[in-house]
Amino acid sequence: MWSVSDEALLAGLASGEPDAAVAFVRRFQRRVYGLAMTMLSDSAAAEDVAQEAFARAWRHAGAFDPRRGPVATWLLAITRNLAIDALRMRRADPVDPETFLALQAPAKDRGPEDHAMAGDDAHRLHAALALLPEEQRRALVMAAFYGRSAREIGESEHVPLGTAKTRIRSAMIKLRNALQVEDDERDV
Amino acid sequence: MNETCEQTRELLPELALGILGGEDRARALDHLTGCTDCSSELAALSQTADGLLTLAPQHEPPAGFEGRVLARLRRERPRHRARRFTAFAAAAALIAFVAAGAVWMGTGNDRKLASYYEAVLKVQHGKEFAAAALETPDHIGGSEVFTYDGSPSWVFVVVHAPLSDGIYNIEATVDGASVHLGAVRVARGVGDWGGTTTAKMSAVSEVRILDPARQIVLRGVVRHE
Repeated sequence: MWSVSDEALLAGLASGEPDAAVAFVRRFQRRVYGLAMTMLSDSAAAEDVAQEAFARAWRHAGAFDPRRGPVATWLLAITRNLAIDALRMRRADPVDPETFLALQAPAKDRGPEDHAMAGDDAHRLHAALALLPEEQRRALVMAAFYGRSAREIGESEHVPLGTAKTRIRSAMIKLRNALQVEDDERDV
Repeated sequence: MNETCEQTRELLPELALGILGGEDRARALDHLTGCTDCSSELAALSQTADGLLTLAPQHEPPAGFEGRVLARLRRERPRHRARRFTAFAAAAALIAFVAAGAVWMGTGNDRKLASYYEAVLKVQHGKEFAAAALETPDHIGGSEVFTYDGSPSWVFVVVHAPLSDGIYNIEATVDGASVHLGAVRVARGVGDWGGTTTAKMSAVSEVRILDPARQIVLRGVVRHE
């Protein structure tokens, strides 16, 4: 079961195969809970979100489209959206981009269960992120993880809307280029 | 790249991050429906945005988390039991099932396997889904191919055979012509591959797995009901 691809596991989950459900939860729980915990800094709230994320993945597994990206990013996007909702509910001002500034460098030796991104891509993304000017990295983290709009980022960073937009755009294009270089090299 | 492209490009990073709203979003989406260049730029940016999520720190959940999640899924199950799952899910579930039961497969319990195929075919309303055993030239079974004819069409191959480690090409005979479908990586005698294809799966008559020297190592005849 452990050698099964993420996609096959997700489908097994959808079909109600009990072994698939166990394997699916085991494979992704550290990522799902980790993202929820990092965003919420509260273990009870993080567990609620993580549980709900697995329940939704299970309910919507049939709608998963592998052409749009890997299972892990789909599941993490579900988790992020639930965590954003949870943050809104408790109306705290939760956004602490610093929490994410130490975003994990992907382990060099990744297990077969880790298909979230090709290892090289994750390394490139992480390296490119580390090279961003701090204000761009903060803007990107607030947008990508907390779903903050350019206007909200401008307000919390005390900069004009245009500046917030430029920061987000510059950061995204640098990271995109870092991944693109890799693809171009592969194509040659 | 025209003026509209340039304006759209400015908006794409925010669109990819899912934080673009209102008129800007509508304008960008409107342009994207007719512009493949901007669409592929959006795809690259979306991949970047999604990739960021995978860099979030991993955390061991509290003790008992796994059990609580599974209990919750069990509780919710009856409501969803009757849902018709997609072709992809059906085929992939079959792979999960076959991969999990590789040892059991080796014992050649054909009747049980046949009833499982039948169940899957029923889910698919029996027409467009086909499964076939793949055998080595000396008739060692245990490998399978599954095809689904739809939009998109799918092919899944599960290898469980005494092959040396390496990458093997997957070919099919479609309407009498040879078509390359993909490649499967085999390690310690097992491997699986699946993907979409533009080849007409309802017209597949044979599937072959070839080694790097283009020798056929596995072959199966696909029968359509």
